[in-house]
Amino acid sequence: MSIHELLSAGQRDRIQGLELFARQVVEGFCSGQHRSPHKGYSVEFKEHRPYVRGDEIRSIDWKVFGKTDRIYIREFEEETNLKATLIVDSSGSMAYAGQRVATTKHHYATQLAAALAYLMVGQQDGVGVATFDTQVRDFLPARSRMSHLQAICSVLQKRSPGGETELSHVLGGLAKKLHRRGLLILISDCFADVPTLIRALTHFRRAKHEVLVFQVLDPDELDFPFSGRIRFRNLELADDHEEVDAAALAEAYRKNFREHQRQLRDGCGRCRIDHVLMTTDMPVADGLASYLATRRRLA
Amino acid sequence: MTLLNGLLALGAMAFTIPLVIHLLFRNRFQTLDWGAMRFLRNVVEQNRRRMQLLNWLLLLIRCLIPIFLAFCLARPIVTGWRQPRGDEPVALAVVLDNSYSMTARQEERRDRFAVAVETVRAIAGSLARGSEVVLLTSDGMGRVTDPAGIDSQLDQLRPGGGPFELDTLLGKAIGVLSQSAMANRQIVIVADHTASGFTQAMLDGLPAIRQRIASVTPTPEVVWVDLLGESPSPFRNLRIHSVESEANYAVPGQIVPWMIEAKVDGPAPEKVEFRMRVNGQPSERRTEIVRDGTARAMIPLTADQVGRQVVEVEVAAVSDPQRADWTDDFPPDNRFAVPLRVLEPVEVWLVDGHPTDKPLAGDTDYLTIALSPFATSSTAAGVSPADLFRPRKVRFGRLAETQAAGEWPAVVVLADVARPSAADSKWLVDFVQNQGGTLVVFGGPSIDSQWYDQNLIDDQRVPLLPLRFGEPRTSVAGLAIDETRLTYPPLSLFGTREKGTLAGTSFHGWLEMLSRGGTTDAPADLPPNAPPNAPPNAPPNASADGQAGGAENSTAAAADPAREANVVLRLEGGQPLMAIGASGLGRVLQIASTSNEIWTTLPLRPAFVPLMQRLLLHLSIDQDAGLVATAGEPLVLTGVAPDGEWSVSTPDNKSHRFKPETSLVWTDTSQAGAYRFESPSGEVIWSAVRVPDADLKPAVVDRETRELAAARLGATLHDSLDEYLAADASRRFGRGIWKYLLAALVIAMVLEPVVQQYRSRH
Repeated sequence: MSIHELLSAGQRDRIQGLELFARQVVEGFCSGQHRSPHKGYSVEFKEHRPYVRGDEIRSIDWKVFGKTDRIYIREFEEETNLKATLIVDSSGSMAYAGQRVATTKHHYATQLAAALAYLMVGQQDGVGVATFDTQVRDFLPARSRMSHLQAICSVLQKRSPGGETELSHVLGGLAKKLHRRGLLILISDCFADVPTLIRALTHFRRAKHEVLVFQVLDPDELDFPFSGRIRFRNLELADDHEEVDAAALAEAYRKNFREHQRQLRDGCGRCRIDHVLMTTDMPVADGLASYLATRRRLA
Repeated sequence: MTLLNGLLALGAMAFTIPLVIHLLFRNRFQTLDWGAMRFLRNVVEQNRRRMQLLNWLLLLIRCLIPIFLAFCLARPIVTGWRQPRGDEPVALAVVLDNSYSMTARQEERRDRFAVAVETVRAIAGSLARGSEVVLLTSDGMGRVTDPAGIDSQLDQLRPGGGPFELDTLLGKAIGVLSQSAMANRQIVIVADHTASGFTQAMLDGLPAIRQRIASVTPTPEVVWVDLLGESPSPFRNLRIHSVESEANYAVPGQIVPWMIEAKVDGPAPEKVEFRMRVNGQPSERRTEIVRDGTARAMIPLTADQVGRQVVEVEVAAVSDPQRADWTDDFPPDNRFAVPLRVLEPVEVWLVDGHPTDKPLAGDTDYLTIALSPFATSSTAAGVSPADLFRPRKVRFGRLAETQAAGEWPAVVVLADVARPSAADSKWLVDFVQNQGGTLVVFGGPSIDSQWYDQNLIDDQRVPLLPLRFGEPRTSVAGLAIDETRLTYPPLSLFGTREKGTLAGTSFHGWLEMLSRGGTTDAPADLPPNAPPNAPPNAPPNASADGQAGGAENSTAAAADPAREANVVLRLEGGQPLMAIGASGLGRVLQIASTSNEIWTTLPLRPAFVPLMQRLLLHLSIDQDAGLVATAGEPLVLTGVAPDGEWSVSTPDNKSHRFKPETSLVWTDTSQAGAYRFESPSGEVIWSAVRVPDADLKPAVVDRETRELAAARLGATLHDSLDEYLAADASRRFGRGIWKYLLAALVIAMVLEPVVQQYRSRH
């Protein structure tokens, strides 16, 4: 499985032109576009400052000393690569594909994850991936090699949706694996208890991770366009169904959904987490481009 | 329940259509794999019960719509548990109240009787062909006829049939219906429920009548049509309150003043007019102003022709052109009839036991004054007093000789005559027993009791005296009259203290009066045959007239010839004071005390004059039993020979001819007023018919009492003719309920989209 199977050529071209700028400087082993809080011996000079006792002798800029007879310390700004982890929801609810869009949410999420991975690897950033339903099913730590991108795509492609969503449990388990600060990208429909989800994400924020939430929904789940007698069969739980008059319940559903979204949006806002709603009728690249453009403006 | 269009009811099976649709679509649904179940689940839990309820309600409404429609078209008829009789003929007994109270006007100024007649016509008109109807009224029973034939009977019917006696009429109805061959029988009561007819005794007797009705097979159905509408408000009624005259007897040429008082209930007219009619001919009239709801007039009438006369008094409101006409809501009490008898003075022979020229020293002097009080009086303006008696003193021992020179007297009075001569005795026996004369024997100290007993009782084949004279008795303190037993009509007046009593009269001496068998047992008292305080010429609410000569029409039984003696007055010790007996054709009044002041103070009392006048008048003239009757009761004229063909003129000026059989009786007395009877020989007799007192009270019993009466009778009470007809149609054909089903259909059709919308919104 390769990136070419997940993304079309056009999508790949558009993604290559994108740049993902991390809002925060993250730690990395390689120099790159991301500024590191660590000053060291890098290619880009930052400033001179007067010597103070305790500074390393090797940091003294002897040329300046020779010209000015003053001891200055030469400081460089070091660039490091981004280390991002894609957390992709593979629960049963992600298997839904509406009548208007044939793509399942899971497939859309996979495409989105692949696009992000491709983008980051192209930027020499490290990227890892985790899939989950009730627990973490696959986990690849972050790497920046192109060969790693193939591994990511392979993991995403082979995972099929199923099982219930247990976001809080899953995020708790991932927190133990991600020791260094980085970028955490959750791709899910977020059909979970919002306070619990927000609590789990807050835990990452406290560990200085930047968190992005891409909420992937089918348009049907937004406007509930159904009518007549419908048996709704639960995608996450076998033998669980409800036979309802859809038209009679539509308004109540929409009300509940709006309330859920409001809680999610507010919770993310409070934790300075970007919440990006993407529907499956929206091309992945367009949605991503729109988000990144917005992010660049705000950066 | 039956269906007129039964086949259409099969359309109700269409209710299965929505049911089948429901069942078919119940398992037809789209299956959708859905991830966002968390947003559905709580909504489903909240709405599941309500939606199920709404769904079932909607299903029910949709099923009911074709059912309602089908049954509405099928015309269902509810008949209860009974088989409707349909157009089968029925035997109907209509108990119709035609008493005078039915003339009271109701709110729309129609009288109750008109409404009742209209009701009976409508009821008869609703009967099936072949039905039989009989009309039962207070004054009789019509013949059994077909429904069409009842119209002619109703045309002839007028108010005035006498008091409405429900129990009596129901008894007749039961008798008629029990003889009917019809299987369906019904009694319909059409009445106004005046309070006078709803006595406690009548109410208590209704369960027994109900049992009688139930004992008839097939049992008649009893229906009570309550026709009583609202009385006009205010209820205006002008009525004669009292009519008083000097006397019910007069002599030719005497001017008799009539005191008339009329009262008005409710708003009063400004003036009223009193009209007098004598023997049906208009006489005097007066217009008087109404003050405080009362108008009074004094109208003198001159008695001219000898004979029985009827004086009618009528009062009517004088219409005022400046004001709206005043309407009397109850006319029957505007007229009142009083009998007046004009007669030649009664010839009375007074035989004095101690004749003397000294004033008031003789035994008959007080009696002379009492019988002819106006002989020496002057004539007052507008009034011409005249004596009803012509007393004449006859010497003792010359009775036969005096009579031989002229006509027979009407009354002979022996006042303390010690021992009549043999010739006088023989003449007295002939006078009483053969000539029908009246003998009055006063006691006294000179009376030879043994002679009287021997010659006038023991030696006579038919005893002349009612009692034997015994020993003279005296009382220094004097004995008073026992006023508790004044039941004899001429004496009943004196039991009323307002008019004068015999109180204060004292008797110091008297003769014992013993039964003719010689025992000292007190003879029997006269049984009361008339209420002592209710003379028949007293109008309703009127006080007693206080005049001599009243209460003359009900005394036939007083002189019962079968009885040996009737003690009509006693002393307070129980000693007989006056006794009346019949002997042959005549009558004898025997008095234990004197006619002067020797033994008693009675001649000195004012009451002595009316007492003696009433007694002698009552005994000496023929009684007029049929002179005045109440409406609905037959007029029976006594003292006339019912030979040949008589004619009668009724108050409506119609003349009828009839041939009496054993006695002169006229039964059609529904109209109040004067009736003129004329014999084949041209003799004219006037009689009057009055409205019964019970019918002069138009007030009706309350609704609860009417319902109680109907319940006790087991009758169905209907408030109107329409209600009766609807109920009768229901009994005959059942009750159509298609209107209700149509209403239910409309409601269901309106409800269905409403529920549908509600269900969609919620």
